[in-house]
Amino acid sequence: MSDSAKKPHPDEALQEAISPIVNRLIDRNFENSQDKIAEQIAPLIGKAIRVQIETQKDDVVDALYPVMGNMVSRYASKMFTQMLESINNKVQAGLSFNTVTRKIRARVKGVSESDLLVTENTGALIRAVLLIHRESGIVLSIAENSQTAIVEPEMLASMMSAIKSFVNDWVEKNSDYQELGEIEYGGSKIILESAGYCYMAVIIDGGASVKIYDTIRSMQENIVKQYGDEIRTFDGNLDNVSVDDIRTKMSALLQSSSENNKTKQKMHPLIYIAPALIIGWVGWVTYHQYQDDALSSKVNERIYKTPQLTSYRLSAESDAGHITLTGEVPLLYYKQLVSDVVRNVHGVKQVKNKIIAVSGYDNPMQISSNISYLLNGLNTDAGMNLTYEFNYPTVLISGTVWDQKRLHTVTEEIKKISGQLDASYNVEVTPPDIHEIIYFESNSYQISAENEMKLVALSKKLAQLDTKAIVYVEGYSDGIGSKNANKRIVDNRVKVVFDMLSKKLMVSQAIEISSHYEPPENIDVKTNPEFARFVAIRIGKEV
Amino acid sequence: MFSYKIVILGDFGVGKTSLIRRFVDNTFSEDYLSTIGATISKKNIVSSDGTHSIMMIWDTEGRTEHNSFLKQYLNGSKAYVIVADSTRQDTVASLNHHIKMCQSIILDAPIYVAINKSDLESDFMIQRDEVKALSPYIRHVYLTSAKTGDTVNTIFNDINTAVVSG
Repeated sequence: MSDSAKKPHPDEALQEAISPIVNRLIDRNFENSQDKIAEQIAPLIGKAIRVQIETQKDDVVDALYPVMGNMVSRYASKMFTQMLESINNKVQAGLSFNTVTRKIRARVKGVSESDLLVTENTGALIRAVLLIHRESGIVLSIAENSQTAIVEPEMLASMMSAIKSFVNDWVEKNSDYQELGEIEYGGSKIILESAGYCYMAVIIDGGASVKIYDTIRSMQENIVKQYGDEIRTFDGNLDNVSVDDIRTKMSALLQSSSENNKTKQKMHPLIYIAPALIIGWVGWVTYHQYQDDALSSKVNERIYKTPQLTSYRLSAESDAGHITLTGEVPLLYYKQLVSDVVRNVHGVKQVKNKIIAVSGYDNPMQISSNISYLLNGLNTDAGMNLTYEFNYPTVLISGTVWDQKRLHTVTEEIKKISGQLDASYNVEVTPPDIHEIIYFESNSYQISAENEMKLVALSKKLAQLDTKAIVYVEGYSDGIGSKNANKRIVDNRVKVVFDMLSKKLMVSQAIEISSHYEPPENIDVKTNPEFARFVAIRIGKEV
Repeated sequence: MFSYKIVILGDFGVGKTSLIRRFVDNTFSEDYLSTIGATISKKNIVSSDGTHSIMMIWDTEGRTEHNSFLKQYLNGSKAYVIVADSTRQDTVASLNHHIKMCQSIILDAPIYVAINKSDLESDFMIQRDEVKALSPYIRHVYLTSAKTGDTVNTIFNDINTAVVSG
């Protein structure tokens, strides 16, 4: 036993002897033939892993976890970084045209801006929309993007129906009733929206926003509501289904999707510039129009509030601070005044004065003033007392004048006032109350110096009157003495007065004389006989 | 324009897929490939009156022990083609089972029975009248051969005519 323990087995001895040689051979062979060894081992590696997974799955998971976990982690973080960079770029774009339109679109569509942003980043493109009969899987209608048309949509619809059927059947057995909502493959997905006797399959590339889901759902509801009966009674004959109408409705989904993509992918920067320029131009014009309107109002108000200019119809129009004045004024003074007033208004850069200064200006207030001036002038004549009522273009002249001559003067003067007035007159021709009594001494027909002065004054008054007036000269006696004596003395007294007026004082009116040989009835000659010895001179009204 | 679905069912290995291949592609293979789940084929048919139809043919797997999966596939079919193997009596015997399953989904759907492999010799007799008597909804019982093509097109054309004529 002890020998055998000491002596090695022949195999072991041989093994010990050649082992170093074999090891060297293997090492050398491994170094020289790595490619050949790799080629021989490669198929075994796959097989070995499969065997290991079958028998020691947890060990394999544990072994690969650090590697796979790192790979997934790195890939995910890289994707997140790219997405964040993209979003950051958009956010940093600040108030760019895209940002503004996105804000508006988000508000109009009722979705969050970030939802839109994610949709833009993921670049959702709806390739096709199929309306499929739920039980048979038959395509009732299809709307598809012409650039990404689907080959054999009937096959696709049937296969999707088969998958749906399979899932529905399985789900029914394992939980409450639920339906397959979508199928994802690569970067695309098929959204399945069921309602009634049909379901809608939307094939979409890229990420779909909540809004897209909502749109699909509402479109599905809309179609079922409108065409539900046709779909429910579908018996294989597509002629009984409004295929084209449904396609038109579903095409709206494609259009919104493709418009979004076209906008994102193909829009040239110039396309942004054109609307921006138009909006800018409209804004600029509107702003300046507003400025001009405000300045015009201000200038017109200032003109109107200038008392000397209030009555004139003047207009100021602003064009970028350049004021054009139009209208008419009677005098150059007013034209200059308008310019001066307008230049002092803040904001006025330049004044173009096109106001016309016209004489005989047809302005009601001016006409009224002119009439007023005229009548004031005429009324300085004692023989005129005139007023007027003016309601452009009519004027009524009222009052009294002593004679026709004055009336004629008034009408002629009124005619001279410009403005094509329609004048009417309510003027009474009333001779002035001119009378004088010349007393005489008893049995005398001599005019005293004092009385001669009275006659001179009287003649001056008569000189102001129309020649057509009649001067009445009447003589009276005191009745004392004989009738003949009284007759003679009265005639003489009348004659001297007549002579004085007609010859000496050159009165131009006709003088009618008359003699009364008795005293006037209202005079008591017994107590005051001197009051009956007189000649009375008065003016009679014209006929 | 018509577009409709029909379903073919029957025990495994009776030649359901071969019948469809013969009708759709006019081909035949001796190799047996089991159908898993369902295979769907499409055939454009133009009737003698010019009516255009698209027939979607659902080829189901022949297993019978998991019928529950099959039932969903039977929905919405305009007709059922139930296939049996003329050389295997058990497949004929299970026709009744398939018929009842179809009627449990759509009671009045027309049923067309195909006794396939008529090119092979059989050691038992099939009474077509007996088969037809299994259900009032059986329209016709055919003896077919996917291998030779015998009567294959007739089944599908009859179905199409019935669907189109309403």
